[in-house]
Amino acid sequence: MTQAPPDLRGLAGAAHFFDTQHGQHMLAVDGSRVFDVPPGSAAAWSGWDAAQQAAFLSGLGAGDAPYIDDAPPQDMPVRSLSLAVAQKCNLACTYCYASGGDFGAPARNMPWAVAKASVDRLIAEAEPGVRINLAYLGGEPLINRDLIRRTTEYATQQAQAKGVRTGFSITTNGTLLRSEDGEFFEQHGFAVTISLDGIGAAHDRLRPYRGGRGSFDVILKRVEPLLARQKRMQVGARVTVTPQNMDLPETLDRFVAMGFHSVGFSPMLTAPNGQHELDKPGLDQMLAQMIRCGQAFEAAVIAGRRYPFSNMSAAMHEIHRGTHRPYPCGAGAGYFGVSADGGLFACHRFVEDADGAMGTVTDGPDPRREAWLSDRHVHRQPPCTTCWARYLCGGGCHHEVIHRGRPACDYIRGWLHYCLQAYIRLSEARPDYFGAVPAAAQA
Amino acid sequence: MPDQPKPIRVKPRNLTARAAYRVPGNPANTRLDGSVGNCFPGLEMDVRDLDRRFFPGLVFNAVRVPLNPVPEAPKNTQGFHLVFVDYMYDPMLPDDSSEDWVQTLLSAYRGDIGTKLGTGRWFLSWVQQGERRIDMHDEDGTPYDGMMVWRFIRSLEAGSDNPVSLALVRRNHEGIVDTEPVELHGYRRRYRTEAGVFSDAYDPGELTQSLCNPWSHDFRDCGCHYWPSNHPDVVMAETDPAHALPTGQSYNPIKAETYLDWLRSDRSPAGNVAAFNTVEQNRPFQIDHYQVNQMWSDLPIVVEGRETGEVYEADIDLPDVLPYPSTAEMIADLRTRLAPMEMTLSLQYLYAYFTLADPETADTARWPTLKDDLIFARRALIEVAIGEMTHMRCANQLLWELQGKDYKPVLTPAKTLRFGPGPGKVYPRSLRPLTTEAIDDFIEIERPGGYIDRAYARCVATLEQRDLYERHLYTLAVRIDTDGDEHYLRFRQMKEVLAKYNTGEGLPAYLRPVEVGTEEQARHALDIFDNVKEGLHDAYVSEAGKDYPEAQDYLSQVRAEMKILRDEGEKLAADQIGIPFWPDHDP
Repeated sequence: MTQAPPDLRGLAGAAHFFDTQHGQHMLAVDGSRVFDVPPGSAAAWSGWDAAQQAAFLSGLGAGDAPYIDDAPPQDMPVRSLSLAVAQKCNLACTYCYASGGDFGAPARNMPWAVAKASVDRLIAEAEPGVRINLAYLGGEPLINRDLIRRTTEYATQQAQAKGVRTGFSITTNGTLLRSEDGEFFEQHGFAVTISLDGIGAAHDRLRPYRGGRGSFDVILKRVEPLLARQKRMQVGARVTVTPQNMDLPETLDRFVAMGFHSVGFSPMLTAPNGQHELDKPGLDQMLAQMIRCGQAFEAAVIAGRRYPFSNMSAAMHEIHRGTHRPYPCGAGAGYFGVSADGGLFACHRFVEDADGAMGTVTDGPDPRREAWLSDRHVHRQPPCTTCWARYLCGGGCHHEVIHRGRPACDYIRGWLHYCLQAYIRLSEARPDYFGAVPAAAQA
Repeated sequence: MPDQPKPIRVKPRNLTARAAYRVPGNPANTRLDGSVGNCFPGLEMDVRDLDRRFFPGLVFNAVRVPLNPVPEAPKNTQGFHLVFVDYMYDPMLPDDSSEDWVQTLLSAYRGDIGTKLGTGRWFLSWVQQGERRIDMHDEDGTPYDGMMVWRFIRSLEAGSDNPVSLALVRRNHEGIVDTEPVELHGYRRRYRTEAGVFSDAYDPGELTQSLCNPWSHDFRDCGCHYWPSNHPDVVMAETDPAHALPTGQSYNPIKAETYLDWLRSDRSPAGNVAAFNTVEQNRPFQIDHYQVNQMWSDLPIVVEGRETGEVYEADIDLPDVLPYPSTAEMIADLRTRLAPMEMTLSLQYLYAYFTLADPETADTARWPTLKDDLIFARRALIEVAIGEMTHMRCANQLLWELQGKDYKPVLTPAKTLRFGPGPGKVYPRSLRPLTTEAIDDFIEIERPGGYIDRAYARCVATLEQRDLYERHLYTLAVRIDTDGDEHYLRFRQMKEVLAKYNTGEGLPAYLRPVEVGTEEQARHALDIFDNVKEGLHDAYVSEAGKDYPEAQDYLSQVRAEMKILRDEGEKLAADQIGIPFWPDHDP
């Protein structure tokens, strides 16, 4: 079955119309509000002038002020820090943003003083009841296992003393996992993310050891005990998609069957050496594959089966809530990356990168942060201001945009267009998935 | 002005869309003070429900004396009946309260007293506040009606310096108290917080549980003037617009114009018989209370007094009604034909009004219903006459809006009237009593689809052209056009009500002998009438010049003169003299 490709660009960025078997629908971009509209509304809309379009939108009930203004957030407390506990790695992934783990700087471990200062900063800025998050990244963080344990225990103790809640996460290549790591992660309710780029050879091509040997089998053997153990702990798989590992539905199915708590995909858009970056045809191919995964997700939800495809479940959740964001993430706002020597950067990807440097963990963010937030607001991004997807996307990953521009906008719009349609279908078929009581149960 | 986009019906789907969507209805911050909460019951809530929980931990129902008690029914069920004990989540009774009275009440409810109150039917026996105790029964021991008890409960004060004591008694099937009463001590609940929010003691739905739903059981009894949930009493039957004759009349005028009881239980064509004049007469043929619950969806929608079926055709165009070729022609027709016609009609009706007998002197010995019927006929006729005066004003307004500074008021009655089906026939104007023949003519004049109806339909068709005329001119013409239907109905009712007094011998009992008098006899009335015309002239000119305060002054004067004219007309009629509104009357 072939269909005319949907118009994913136009309409000056105030509304986006889309169709499903349930009729025509509209995303009012301001506030990410989703409406059912009668057939032909898109055509009527495109015949209106700006004043008529504005009158129609104001009839939908939003207030006078837009949901998102131009003002960057002021003095946001630091809630999440990622610690580059080991700026070195035992793998030699071909596309690594950290250039093999050291971010192009001398390989080293984070000293205790820096980790402690990071915890102290989080605790200092948190009021009782607030949740703080510590993420351990690298390099390969488990190279510095002792620091992770010591920091986690220190943070738990400090947080308990102040009545602050904690969340811990770690992103690891999985090669160094030990049984006692699983026990420790379970005890502290870690979110463990394993970087896995496919099954067997597909993974091994992209994520080899420094000697060239594949890592997949080793990782599986080490991850399986964690998968079996997870209760408080949640073990997820994250797949970086390159032209070399495009069989996404198979990968997803396999990882879900293995018992991962969630499985997510992200496109390889920028590598320091340019290797394996997706080009336009590659992104088109990935979009088709993602939609196949999404269809599997829809079928599972309708059948009442858990299918933890995280890109999709996050999108469904956010579209349902009407999430609208002026930034793609919390980088530079409530979230920072800490380098091994205590430098504060916009996020874990900007570690050792002057473009994202914002002070030190001991002294806190400096004025560069204000400039960053003002500059990175989606209203300041020229191609975004007329894009209907801007408040769902937030303008795209800062790191990728700054270093490669925006090669993936069509991919993002295509994906969100599909997700909006899927949202309609699922909210019709399974309103309970979104928290509504099904009609049958009400009677 | 550019056309706004037509409203598009949208359905908000996700949470932000739903949160922002303004649903028609009361805003979330509506407070009782601003709502329609009364004891009829009201629309938003029934205030009686507040007092059900006047005492912490207890829930009462106000039970009334049954209207038609069944012999086997338990005796003395009226009063403030304890429904159940509900202390677990009562905000006045927190577990950890340090107040002695709270702990005493809690241990009573949890202990023997709670158990005791759980068996049999318990009623409020008395309440006491300060020195005053109110017993909830007569001197002979008969319990008060629940609504009376409720009024006593309303008089209780809340607050920590106003303790309340009460006693509950158990009554058995024979209505006899059969165990020791239970006494409790506490305080009256504060129904609302300082912020005006209802106490958490009330469960969702509790304050609205006794509201009348417009489509439930007693909707049958809602009067046509009970504004929250009114329904029509009588309606005209649905007609097929395709069955209209070329004149615009229905091919079966009797069927089309017979008033039916909207609540008739026989909804087949055979049930389409004329409704009686009173609710009581129609009752036996109406659907019953229990049937409303099942049949409400069969009751047809009524638009413009007529039942409608599957499809309502708004504004069915009369055939062959074309717009005037030019504004000038419409102005000419309004000046020479329509406005003078309205004045003639209003004066004919006013004249006929004075010929109706005085209800106060009606021969009620011979005609027991005459007084009421006269009151009705007089009221209906004066309403129609006033309606025509309003039309005269509207026709003048159309003229001043269309003519601008060339406008001159039209206050001369037409010498002839054209009415009847199709092109109609010309009749001389005439001042005459409200005889059967006169009523028949008036019915014919006002008949929907008749000549006069069609005359205004042409104005409507002309002013409907949005690009040529301002919208309010169109609505003005529509108003005149549709009022005719109401006048038609009024005259038909008058005919029906008054017919029985026409015995064929002499003057019908509802008329008084009045003849058109001479100018000399009616000098004073005619002077007043001249003042009226002069005042209207000045008022219209002022309004045309947009000097509204001045116009208002003139109109107030005219109203005062009209009152005097009415009194004078009555006085003359009592002397058998009718006011000669125009001189060329031909007896």
